[in-house]
Amino acid sequence: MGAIFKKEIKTLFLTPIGWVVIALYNCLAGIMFVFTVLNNQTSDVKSFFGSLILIILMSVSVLSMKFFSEERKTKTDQLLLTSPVSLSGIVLGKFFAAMIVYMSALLVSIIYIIIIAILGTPEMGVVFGNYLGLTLVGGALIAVGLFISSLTQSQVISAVLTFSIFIVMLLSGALVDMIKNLIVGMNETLKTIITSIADTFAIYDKFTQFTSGMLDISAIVYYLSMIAIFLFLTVRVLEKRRWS
Amino acid sequence: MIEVSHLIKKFGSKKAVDDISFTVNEGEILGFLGPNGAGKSTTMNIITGYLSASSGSVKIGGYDILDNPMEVKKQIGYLPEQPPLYLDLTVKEYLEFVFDLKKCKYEKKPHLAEICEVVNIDGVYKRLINNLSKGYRQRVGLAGALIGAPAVLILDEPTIGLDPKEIIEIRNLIKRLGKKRTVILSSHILTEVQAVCDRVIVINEGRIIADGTPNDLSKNVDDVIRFSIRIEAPQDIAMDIIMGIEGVKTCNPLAIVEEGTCDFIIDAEASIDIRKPLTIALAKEGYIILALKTLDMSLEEAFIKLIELDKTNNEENVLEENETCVSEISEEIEQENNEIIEQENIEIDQQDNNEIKEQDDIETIEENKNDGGEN
Repeated sequence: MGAIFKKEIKTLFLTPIGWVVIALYNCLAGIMFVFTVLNNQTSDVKSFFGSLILIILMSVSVLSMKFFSEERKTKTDQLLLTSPVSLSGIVLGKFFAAMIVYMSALLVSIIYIIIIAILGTPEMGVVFGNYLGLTLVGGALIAVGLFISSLTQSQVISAVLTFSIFIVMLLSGALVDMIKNLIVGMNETLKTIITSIADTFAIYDKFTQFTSGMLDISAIVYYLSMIAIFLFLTVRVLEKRRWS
Repeated sequence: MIEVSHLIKKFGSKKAVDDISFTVNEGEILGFLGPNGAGKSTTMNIITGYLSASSGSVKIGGYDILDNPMEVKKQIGYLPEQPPLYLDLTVKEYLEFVFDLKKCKYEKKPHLAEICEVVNIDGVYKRLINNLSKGYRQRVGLAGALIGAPAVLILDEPTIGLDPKEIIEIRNLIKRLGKKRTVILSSHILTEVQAVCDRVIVINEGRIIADGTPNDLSKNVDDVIRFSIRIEAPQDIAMDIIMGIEGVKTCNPLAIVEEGTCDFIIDAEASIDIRKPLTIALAKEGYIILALKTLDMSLEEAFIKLIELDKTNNEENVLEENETCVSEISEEIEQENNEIIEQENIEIDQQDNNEIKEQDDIETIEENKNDGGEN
């Protein structure tokens, strides 16, 4: 795992991808900061953090698109899979390398908090809650992205598919509300089934708790299990390919 | 060292590898020979653990690839057909990564330096792999396979896409490596296998159709012995005499080299020694044999024969299964066989030419090299 982690970090920062992700994230986050905080002359960071979600979706799709698809295309997976490394070691190495890039993008955005702190007083609890929440959401999204990149050889398909699935996840929260409140006369059990499925994938709804600075244990568990499930599925995809 | 038994690999309904069994002893260089798509790479991928077999087992150094994958993988250095290189890394970074990946116990710097010297990539050590030529990439791939000094080396078409000089270098390198290690090497180039390997396994359509030393293969493949002969006699008379000998199958006249003599290539049945009766028959008429030589069938011919034989066997099997229109189809087969033989002859001629050309090439290169050295 160590060797793969080290190599992934190296390639992410040697090739443009790592820098593009960090630049993309911070450029868009900066614009959002101007609109939500500076323009409103407020030290309230809730709406700022809330607006980051879409930016994170894009950054993570780009970040995770090449992890396994490129290995397969250039046949370097033959080296990894015939070396004395376990599949979970390979997947975890890549996951943590992606997390490092993602978190360094987050880290740069601390500069906005410093600006607010100079001009006013931000609620530190809200700030910490948000950073924890963003890290967890990012982890879950990266795990999903890794899983999708293990399914295809094409980086473009991987990125587009990942982004589409993220959007669906974003909308499934709204779907839950819609079914619960708007549709009348629907079978109750059917309603429960659909809402619970949609709720499982509504990855951002759990995030709202963090934006207001609350530590929601169930949300933390939810994100950690999303990470575990998708990394496990990635390992299974790699394992299955050997047999087909 | 390597035990492969009853290996079967199916891709969908197609059998890419069909019940292959063989063992390789320690220190042996085994050549895998077969046309493209015969199942060489698939077999190698199974041995190295990249793919899993549909059934059958692979043991390396006593460990089973499914039960003890880590132990097996530690013992193997694998160079796939396309070297698994990260183009964004330099040679140094790549080799260090492979070193870490294989969890080697050697000291890093001297071990890598030694390998670089062996495969001769010192000069490009700090360059980006993306900027290297095919030959150097192949060598970097080979260096990666050598890291950790594995007891077993598996090389899938190691000389593909290289220039003649590089091919010779890599072949010599493999020979040297094979003194200490067990090597499996695949190729569809026969001269390569002849030059490097102690033993050859010929694979066609996923099955082993021959197993032996390169010499065995060319000897055992057919019941025909081929002679070349030079006789001091008029061509047509000599030909009549030769065709009159029992056991002679064909006799092809060659161009006249020496005045007053004629040359022939004779194919005779292996069970009958025609040399004695031939000498006597010619002497009776007052003609003298100036030269008589047995020709071993080249590996090329053996290879083509083996594959054609395999094909006809298959077709016969199919025939036995559906016993319809037997006579018609057998006629067809006969025609096909004739066609095959004709094609074979043409191919053999072409290959002979190619071989001569290749040798010429190599010689010129070596000459150039020598010249260069003198300058």
